[in-house]
Amino acid sequence: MIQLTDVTKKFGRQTAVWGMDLFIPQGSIYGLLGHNGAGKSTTLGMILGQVFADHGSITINGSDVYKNRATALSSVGAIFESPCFYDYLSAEANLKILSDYSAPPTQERLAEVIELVGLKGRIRDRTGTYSHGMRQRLALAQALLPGPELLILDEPADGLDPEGIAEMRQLVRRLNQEWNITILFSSHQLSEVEQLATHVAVMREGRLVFDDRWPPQGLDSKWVQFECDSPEQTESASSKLRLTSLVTQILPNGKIELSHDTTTSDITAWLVQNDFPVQSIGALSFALEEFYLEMAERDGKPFQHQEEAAP
Amino acid sequence: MMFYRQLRNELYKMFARKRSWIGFGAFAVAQIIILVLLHRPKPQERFQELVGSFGGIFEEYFGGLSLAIILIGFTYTLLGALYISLVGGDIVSKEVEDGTMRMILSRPVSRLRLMIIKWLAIAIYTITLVLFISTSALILASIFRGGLGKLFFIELDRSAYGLFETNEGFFRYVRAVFSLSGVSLTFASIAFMFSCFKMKPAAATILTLSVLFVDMVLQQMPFFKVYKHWFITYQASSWSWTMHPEPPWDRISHAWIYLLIVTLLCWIIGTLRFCSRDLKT
Repeated sequence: MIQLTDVTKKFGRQTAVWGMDLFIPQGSIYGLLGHNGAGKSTTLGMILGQVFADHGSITINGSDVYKNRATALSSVGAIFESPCFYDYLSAEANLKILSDYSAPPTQERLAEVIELVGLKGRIRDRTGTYSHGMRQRLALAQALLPGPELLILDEPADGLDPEGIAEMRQLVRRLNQEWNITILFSSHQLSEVEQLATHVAVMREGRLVFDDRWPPQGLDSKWVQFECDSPEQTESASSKLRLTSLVTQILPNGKIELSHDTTTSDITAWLVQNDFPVQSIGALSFALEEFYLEMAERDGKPFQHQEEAAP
Repeated sequence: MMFYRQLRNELYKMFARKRSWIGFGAFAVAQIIILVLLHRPKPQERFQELVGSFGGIFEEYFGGLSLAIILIGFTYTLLGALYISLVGGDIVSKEVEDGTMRMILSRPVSRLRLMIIKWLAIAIYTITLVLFISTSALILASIFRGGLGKLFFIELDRSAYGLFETNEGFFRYVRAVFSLSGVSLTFASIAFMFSCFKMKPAAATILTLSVLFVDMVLQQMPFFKVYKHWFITYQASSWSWTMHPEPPWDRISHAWIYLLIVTLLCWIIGTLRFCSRDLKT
């Protein structure tokens, strides 16, 4: 669906995006994760042809967004962080004006989308009177009106209250599942990405350090958490395990990443042999937050699956 | 069809904003104030002296047509460039600043097409504004004096004057108004060009006014009289040359070609800049 090939963007001396290769498959909910200033919005801007890449190519459904903009964007809807409208006009007028830049919607389509985003009673009100949540819904409506196959959402949950976030999440999921719309969204809210995304890409300082399905295949089974009688013993065991070839990564609280040939039983045996009174041991259900923090510890170095990292 | 819809929407957006049409009201108020002042004995005595010195009769020439020309001269000089710069300076930069430009450009519309639409919108606004000023001036002045009267016209530097019967005067008034609409497009294009650069709408307006003001001051300085043909405001004054008893058509056509080139250059520079710039919050 979307293909970025070796895309680089500089703003003056600052490189916002470095040699980015990314493929976003049809039907996915792709979460683009990164700290503020990581290059997420620049990447989305380039995909929409609003920011010009210095190097590389970007295609949507095979059409280059710079050379063949009209075709490339014909099946795309987008909303941005803090959606902006002509606040002196009604929401309905805003929708009509924006739609006329692609294809004017039928009255039925307009009614359907307005109903979907829950703005039925307020559509004739000026957008200047709208709350942030309502503006987000209106933004979604304008993005959906042309019947897009791909929806690009830049920080869609930003500024929403918890109820609004939950509603937005449900709506995005519904659009993906019922309307078969591919979703690409950026966020710095880990929980948001974790709950929604089928794929995750992580950016750090302009570089793509990870992109794969979420959770990455095989990753869960490679992480184990054990607990000894006391926290001190757990930490001591972790420190000693670090010196063996059984593990490749150690995180606090007995979280360890197993090396290629190691199994949970091998760790149990090692703990018993080394007189550590093990209380419990089991596969760690991997949370995105930990994963992301681990990315941070790697200081932007590209993440490799254990299989790939093994010699 | 789509192009027409997009242009119509652009005009709708523009005229729905208070600051776009507030200029129309400001002109009407300014014209009424000037008419009230012209009702005072001293200005009438001055007009009588002036028209008398060229062989005209005060009662015949102190009518709607002559006063409308005075009204246009004053109000347009004071407010015309200001409002055209204000709306022209907003046309692109305001949308970029407000973030609505990114919403538009997430649609499959080309930037070039957008620039054509935006320029056409500001051109239509400019022509509408000038036509409004001239129509309101003529209506208000005619009501004030009880009729059109004959046309007395004089250049500010007294280099030319004209005394015309009502029909001929009306024809020359209409011709001058359309000329003024045309030359005003150059002012609008300068504002449009600045608006395409990365700057605040107010900065685009101020820059446009600065260019026009400096241009006007320089062309009136004795040292630069010899270069007056290079100044925009000098060539823009060609609208009044069309009211001369023998309009200097060669000078007028030269001025219009010059202004057309400036207008095109401004559009091209603005469009090239906009089409190559990154739009990002």
